[in-house]
Amino acid sequence: MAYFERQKTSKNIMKLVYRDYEIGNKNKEQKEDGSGSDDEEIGGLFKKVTSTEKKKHKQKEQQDVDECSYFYSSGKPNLKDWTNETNKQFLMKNFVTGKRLPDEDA
Amino acid sequence: MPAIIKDDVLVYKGSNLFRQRLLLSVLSGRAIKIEDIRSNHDDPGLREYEVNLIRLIDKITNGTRVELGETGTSMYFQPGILVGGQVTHSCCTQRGIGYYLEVLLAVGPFCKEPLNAVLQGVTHHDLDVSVDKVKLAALPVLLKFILVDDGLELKVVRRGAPPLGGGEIVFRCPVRRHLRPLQWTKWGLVKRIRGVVYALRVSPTFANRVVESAKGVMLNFLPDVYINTDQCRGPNAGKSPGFGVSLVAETNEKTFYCAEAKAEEVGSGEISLPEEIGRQCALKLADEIYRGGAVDSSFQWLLALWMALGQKDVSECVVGPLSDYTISFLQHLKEFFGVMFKLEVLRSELDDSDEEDDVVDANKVKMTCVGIGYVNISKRTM
Repeated sequence: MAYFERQKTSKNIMKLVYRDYEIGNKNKEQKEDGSGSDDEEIGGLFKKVTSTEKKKHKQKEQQDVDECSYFYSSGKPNLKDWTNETNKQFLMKNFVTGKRLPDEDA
Repeated sequence: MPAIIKDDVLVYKGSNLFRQRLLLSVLSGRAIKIEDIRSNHDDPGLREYEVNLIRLIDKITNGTRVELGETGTSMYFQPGILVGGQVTHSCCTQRGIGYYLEVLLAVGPFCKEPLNAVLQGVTHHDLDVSVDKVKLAALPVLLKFILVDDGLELKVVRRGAPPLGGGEIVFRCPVRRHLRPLQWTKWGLVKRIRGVVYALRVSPTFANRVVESAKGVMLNFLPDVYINTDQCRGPNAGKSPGFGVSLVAETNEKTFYCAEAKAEEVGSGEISLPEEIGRQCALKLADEIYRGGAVDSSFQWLLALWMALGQKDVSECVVGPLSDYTISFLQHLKEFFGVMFKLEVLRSELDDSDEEDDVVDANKVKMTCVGIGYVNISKRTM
């Protein structure tokens, strides 16, 4: 459930969508990456996985995924049981038969 | 992943989002190059269904140039002019007709001649929106942009289940010089639920069992539920057995949400019970209604496309949470047309005190953009 994780962590949706696309910020970030990636070694043998490498890995994984325009594109959605009483109450306000605000007309 | 621009050619890597890139390339007239297409796979290069899509685009355009690399893992695509007109295309059965239909729908209003396409293949597929869904939920969105429907039509002539297909549809789309800007921030309340259940080469009782269970769930919310059954016979039932359901919820502001479920393919080793399919579809519809917004989540990207290509005026729509597909589409729109949307997350202000803690309201996103004033120059004016 990538969406719910996202909802918890990042709040800025502009940044989420256009993160890599703002020309102004791009040069700055690249500089930061360049200086940080060299000395991330632990004990001279192992290399720490940097965030850029993680990103690269993720990009590689995404590169050849089958295209699908559904909201839950990967795997089966874990749907809530909307028929149970608490969930049902919550959904009811989206129907004409549901609870209305006091100032609304039918 | 951002494209690298080399001599005004957008260079991408990987086969993902192939369709988005092609259709935006056609609309914008910018050439693209795609490298590393499944280069690490056992079966590298373009799949049959992707080549098939290129063929379809070749049919509706004039002057398209495609060059494939020697190994088949790279492709250069230079788009021609959108012509449209009469097209007959037999779609690859690896994907549903929806895969191709969505492309036609996106470019349809910008063709020279009104599009009149006959598509043959698989009408219902797991990875793609079904033809019913396009008909029920996507056409009303286009109607908002063109206002007058002169000849916007989608007819399902025959249905065809995977793997062999055998379905056929006819899609007609009028042309427009430009699209209207759209303000669509209210979607109202769900007032009725309709549906279609189809049963192809299986016992007709399957359809009734699906109807019963789907209706059972939806009647919890609304009394106005009516589900049709489409019993196909003979050649109208396609070449493979299968059954499935599409449910659509209509609101009083003419927003349509659509959910679908279908039985597993024969020979896949899994058994689907009709009751389960019906229930699954109904729950998916409930989920779609919960997420809300002015359009169905599968067609957010079409909405974004038409908003961006509108007249030089402000368009404003509120949709449910953005799907991953829409996010990458917005990124591509930025690259091809330089359009950036203003996106705001709307928080629900009226926090009812009786709400349970585990159910939070789905965050709606307000999308605002100024159209680029895209003009269909090939449309003849009387």
